[in-house]
Amino acid sequence: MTDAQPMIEAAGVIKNFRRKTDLAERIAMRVGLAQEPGTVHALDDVSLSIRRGEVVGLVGESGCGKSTFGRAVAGMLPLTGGVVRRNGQDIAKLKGAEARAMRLATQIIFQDPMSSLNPRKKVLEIIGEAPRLHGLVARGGVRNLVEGLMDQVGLDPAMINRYPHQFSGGQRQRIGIARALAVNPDFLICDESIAALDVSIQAQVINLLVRLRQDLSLTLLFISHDLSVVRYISDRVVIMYLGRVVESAPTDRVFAAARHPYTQALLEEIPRIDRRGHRFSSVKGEIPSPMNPPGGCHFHPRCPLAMDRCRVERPMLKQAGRDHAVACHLDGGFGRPKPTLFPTQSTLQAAESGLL
Amino acid sequence: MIAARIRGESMGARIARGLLSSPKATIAAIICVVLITSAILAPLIAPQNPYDLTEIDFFDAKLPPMSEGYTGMTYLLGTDGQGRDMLSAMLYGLRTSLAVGVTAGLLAMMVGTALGLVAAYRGGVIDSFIMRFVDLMLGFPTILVALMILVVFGQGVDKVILALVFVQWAYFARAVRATAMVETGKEYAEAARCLGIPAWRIMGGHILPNCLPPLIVIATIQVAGAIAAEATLSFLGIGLPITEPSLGLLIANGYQVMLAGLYWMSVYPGLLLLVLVFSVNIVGDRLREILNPRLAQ
Repeated sequence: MTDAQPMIEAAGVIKNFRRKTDLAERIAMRVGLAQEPGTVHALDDVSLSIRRGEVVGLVGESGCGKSTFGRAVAGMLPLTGGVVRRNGQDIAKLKGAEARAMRLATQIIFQDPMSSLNPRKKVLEIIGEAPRLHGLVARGGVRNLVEGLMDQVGLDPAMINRYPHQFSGGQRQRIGIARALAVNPDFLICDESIAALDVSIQAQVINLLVRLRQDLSLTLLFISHDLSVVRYISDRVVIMYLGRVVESAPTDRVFAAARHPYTQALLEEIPRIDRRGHRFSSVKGEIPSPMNPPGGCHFHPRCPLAMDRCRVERPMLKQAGRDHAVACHLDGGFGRPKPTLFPTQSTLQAAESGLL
Repeated sequence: MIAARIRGESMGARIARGLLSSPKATIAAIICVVLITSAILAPLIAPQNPYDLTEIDFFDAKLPPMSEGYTGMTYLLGTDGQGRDMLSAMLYGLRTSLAVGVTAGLLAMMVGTALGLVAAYRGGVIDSFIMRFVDLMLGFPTILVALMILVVFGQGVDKVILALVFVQWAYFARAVRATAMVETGKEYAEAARCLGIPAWRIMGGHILPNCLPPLIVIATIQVAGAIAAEATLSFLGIGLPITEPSLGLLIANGYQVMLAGLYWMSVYPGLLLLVLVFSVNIVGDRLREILNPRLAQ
């Protein structure tokens, strides 16, 4: 499964959003009547590589930049800085046929099954339009192709002439998956693809994705805010907080030995049957505004273990084991080990200095 | 709207059901259909051809309604100064008025829709440029701009249509842009971009069909507006040439003798114009209620 070269490599990706100003506003700003609109730092130097065949789960609170990262990797957004490489090639520099091939090879499965399908098109057109337009299938073969795809995602091909409103949420999501598969992608970005579905349907759609991944040897970037879902499907989990990656590790390791205080806080809040009496407390405080992120480590205002250093110095991602990277100043850069066993030297020191 | 979608009702069926559920709108729709049909069939149903001089007798000039003429024919709505049957002249006038109004309305719709779509989809400088131009157009009084165009280009059916398109496209552009911006932000438009579908196809094939409801409403009301504006221009004497009399021109012709007691030459075309514009507007208002999910109960 593992290649030497990563299939997708994001290096130092930065994406800022700025509200556009028109001429009148710019004049008003010149003379001091209006304020300069703030910049949203959606992605703040994100590096991440995905190996061929891997399923990477990208987790974080809403507003942390997960979806923006997905769009950036798909080449749908011009980047403010950094590069996204696919098989070693910068996707922003591709031209013509190569750019088109790259665009089709990465597809997105969207979140909202209501708005992600055009309400005025039949399933046949929704799934069949792109392959027909790109000449991936002969004119007469479109119907066959669409029927095959519907079968593959578990839809009855007899429903080929129906409109999206005639389907349930789960079925609509399957149509979305079939639409993406129609152009033969090898990399799928699932952007909260199951968040809008009922729990019983979620399981079906996840199982479908797992099966398709095996059948078609797909690579998946699975974006979600739900750790338990990610745990089920992912080989590796990447945790984002406010535009930065804070921890990245193989799935088992995240759940057994998370290092970053934020990851640990997220894990604490997964409902478990053996902790029925547990009183849930969300991570203290609100996620800060990405327009004005806190200095140093973005998580320090909410971190129970924050030190002086965290307020001024940004922690870089450091190796904390095989395939495991953490961005935290604690414990010599290894974050804090699971707090149940023995407190390490650094946490003891932190406790003594009144930070705990 | 959502309820209708769940029921799986097509837009046509929804419009028909909505129109029929209001007696006022039903009557207005029937009047519209009758008027449009009689305008199309004018050569078949009109008692005489008002343009054929051999059918017109000058001795029948200025006869009041219901009087019998030299030729033995009864003039239901009287005759005009040249002895033309008013009813026939009105049917032909209605034909011209409707043709000009509908053509101008549809052309304005095409121009405005295309520009509105491009503005919404492209955004940025193109959007600002188009929309500032729209603001400029909407800032001028309609009739004033139309007058200026006709003064510059001269008379004629094509010139009137040009003038009407010029003053009306901005309404379409503004309405389409607003809806298209909402639709462009939806995930299906993003999915289409992700699938490498060309921009013009996303605009025309994906976004435009979802902008239809407000477009239908605006189109209906703007057609009524175009008919009224054309009548105004013709009444002022700079619209259609005298050889193709529209309702506005008929009103203008009769207007000169109205105070002499020959009311029918001007009042009947005026009434017909009123009924036509009024009915189209009522249908348009009802369409707005049917197609706007916020106004629907």
